[in-house]
Amino acid sequence: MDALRQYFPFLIPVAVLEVGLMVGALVHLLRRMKTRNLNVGAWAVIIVVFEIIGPVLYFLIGREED
Amino acid sequence: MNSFLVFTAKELREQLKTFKGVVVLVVLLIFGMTSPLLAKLTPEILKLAGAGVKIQIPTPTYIDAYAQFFKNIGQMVMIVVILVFSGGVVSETSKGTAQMMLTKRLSRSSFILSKFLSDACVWTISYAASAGLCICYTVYLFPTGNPAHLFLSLFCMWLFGIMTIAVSLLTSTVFNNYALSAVGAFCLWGLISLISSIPKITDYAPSALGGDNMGLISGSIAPAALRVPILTGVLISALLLLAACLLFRRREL
Repeated sequence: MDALRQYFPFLIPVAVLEVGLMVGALVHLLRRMKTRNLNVGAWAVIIVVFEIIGPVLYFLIGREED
Repeated sequence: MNSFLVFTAKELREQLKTFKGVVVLVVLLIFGMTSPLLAKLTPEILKLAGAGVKIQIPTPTYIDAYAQFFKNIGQMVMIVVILVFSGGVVSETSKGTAQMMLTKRLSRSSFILSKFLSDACVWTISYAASAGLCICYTVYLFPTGNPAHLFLSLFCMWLFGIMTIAVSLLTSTVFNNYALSAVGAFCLWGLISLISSIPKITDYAPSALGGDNMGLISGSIAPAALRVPILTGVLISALLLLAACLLFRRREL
């Protein structure tokens, strides 16, 4: 456990990127409330539940063009 | 030439606006950092998971860190690259924006080539950042050990990515639907790997670019062995681009 705690600072940037991607996707979704392929609620769940993959999929196939 | 550069710059801006560039960059950065960390922490995590049970795990070294990195880039990141870049031309042809661009004195070949150039820029910048982070983390977490031919190994994986981008660009010009284009790109990519595994071809095939990286780092593969795969990798990428240009010229928009 000590070893894990010792490397905790290294995990912070990873967590920041992952959470940033998720929040970015959620903000993008909630500001438009328009999606493709699935409805808004389903995309919100996908973004939150699936780390990295969820937001990536949303930006690729779920995002409504402006 | 001028319109080519202008269009490439516009493409790069578009990559940011549609979050494609951001997605590739973030995914690569995450893998660049997590690979050495995971190599370092796996024994600790296993110890926690099997509390009380004695598990014998060899102490991880820098080799494990780079092995994780190349495995992640060669599989997960390539999947993301195909998913992101196989929509490039499709989205423009299906929306009709490609037609608008092509009437503005931009030849069809330049259209394809500037798409490729902007995709390659995004890949190169993201990959360089990711590899840099991975090296920094690895040097800090595993101070001992000196990887052989690290840069050649990294370059091979970069070229492998460029070839993957060329594959996605070709299917993106052939099909007029994103799903078909992505599936087509996976099939074509798989086909190249499959052909590469035929015994007599293996030594010359470009799949070595994404597979022999660890051999180079541990020193079990001589750099000279990669000479032909690098050449065929460049050649196949060029042929794929040529095919994309020719097909796009004949295509009705």
